[in-house]
Amino acid sequence: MKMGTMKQLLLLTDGCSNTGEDPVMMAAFARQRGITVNVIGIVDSSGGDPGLDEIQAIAKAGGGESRIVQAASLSETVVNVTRQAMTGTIYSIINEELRGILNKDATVESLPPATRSEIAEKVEDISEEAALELLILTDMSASMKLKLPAVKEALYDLSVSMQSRIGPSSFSLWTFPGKYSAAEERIGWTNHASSLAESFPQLVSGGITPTGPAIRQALSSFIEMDEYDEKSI
Amino acid sequence: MKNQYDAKPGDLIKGKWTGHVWRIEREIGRGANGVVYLVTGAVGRAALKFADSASVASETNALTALERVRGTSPGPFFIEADDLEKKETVYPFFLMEFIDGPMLHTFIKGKKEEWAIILLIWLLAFLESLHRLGYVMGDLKPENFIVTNKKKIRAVDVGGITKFGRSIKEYTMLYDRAAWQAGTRKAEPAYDLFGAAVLTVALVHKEAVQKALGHTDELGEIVQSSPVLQPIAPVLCNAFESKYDSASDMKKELLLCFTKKNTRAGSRKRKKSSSGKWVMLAGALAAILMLFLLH
Repeated sequence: MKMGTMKQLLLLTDGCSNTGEDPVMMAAFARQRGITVNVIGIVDSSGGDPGLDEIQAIAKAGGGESRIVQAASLSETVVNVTRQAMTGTIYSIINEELRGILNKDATVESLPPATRSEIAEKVEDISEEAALELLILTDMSASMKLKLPAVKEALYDLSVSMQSRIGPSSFSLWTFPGKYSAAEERIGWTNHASSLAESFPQLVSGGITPTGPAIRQALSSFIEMDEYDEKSI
Repeated sequence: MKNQYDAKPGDLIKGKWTGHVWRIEREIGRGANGVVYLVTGAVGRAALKFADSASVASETNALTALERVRGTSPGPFFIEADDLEKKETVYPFFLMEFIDGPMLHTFIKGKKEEWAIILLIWLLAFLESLHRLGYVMGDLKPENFIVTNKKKIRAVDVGGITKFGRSIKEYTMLYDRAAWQAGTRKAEPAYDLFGAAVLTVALVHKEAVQKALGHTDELGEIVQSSPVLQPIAPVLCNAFESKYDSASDMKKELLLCFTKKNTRAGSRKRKKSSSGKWVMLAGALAAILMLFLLH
């Protein structure tokens, strides 16, 4: 099995979206385009409501993983979510193939354990060797201010893990809300993951959280400009 | 973890594929990706782990890969993998040999701190046999190892076991080379040797190591100022800098350092004990002062 480039959008946020299109719809659109959307909700020790339902709904529609974590354990979570989403993508392709061969309810779980182990070995090979394009979309609304150092550290950590893989990885960093639009590209596609953490912005912007529009804009980065047409969405 | 099956002592687990029945005795471990129970079945005692289907499959592969040497394995022997079906939900699990004994941190409790060095020697022997098979341990937390009554260390969790050249599958920050900003997360012997060195220091000075996380220079200071670890400081510091390519090289130098220490021990000990007395006295004085201030 040959695998194309795996495309992932990782959304880091600490609250509910409060303006613009529905982020769940945008995540479903991303998935249609072969881009997996993962969401990590960051809470502070005092609790706070990261909008659990919305976070789960976005990840579900985007075919990815969701987690709610405290800032302190963000690093491990970011790496785990990215890895699991990669194997998840491969498994969902395998499940689809199985449904074609067996029946419409078939999944890897309907195969005997020995066969599953063989599949797991292949899945590991593929996720280790496949090319990865990972776009990180970070919420920079005022409430994120104290969490930004943890985000920066997590991005450094993520870059170390991804660069230890055999396959090539490229990264891009977007933040929202932007000064003049819903989201802004901070670092364009690069193979030098360390630049992600190094030039991570430390200034938060306004109070609104336009999660939906931000996902839409960030997606433009994956989809080539000539086929990208905002009106078609 | 989603879809976690919670079993109670006395529950019977019947495998969908083999029909084998296992009786739950007690829970023996719980991690981020699964729960392990001690069970009894037709073949006797075993360890049963519930996890998601992908983890079961990949840990099965890791366990069988470690058995390539006939008759021994650095990890538990693999028995079989199966599914439990309850109310239309599938709970995958697998069975492995139950390895009895204390975990590293429980083993050292109540013993002299010097045992940490003995544990490191045993741990390096374990890593030597694992690396020979082309795999690294990855997750070097003390809970993942058991000291057997044969004076050997064996792994009880193989979730982090990774083929050479790949990126480490599972790790714990405190023992992770990348978290200390001391190198990559690529699976190579030096990655495990770094973790083994940190593990040794953490067995003796857990809190100090946790505080130092991210700064290897502070890790070096902890070692230098530790009466227990100072004699093997050169070996630990080399491991922090990924200077060893193999566990056997590190073990050789460690044994050399360790024996050298014993010949010089006399003079150093006298000095240490007198300074120790002064520290005790100062501590007692401080405590009395504190009591006065509080009143």
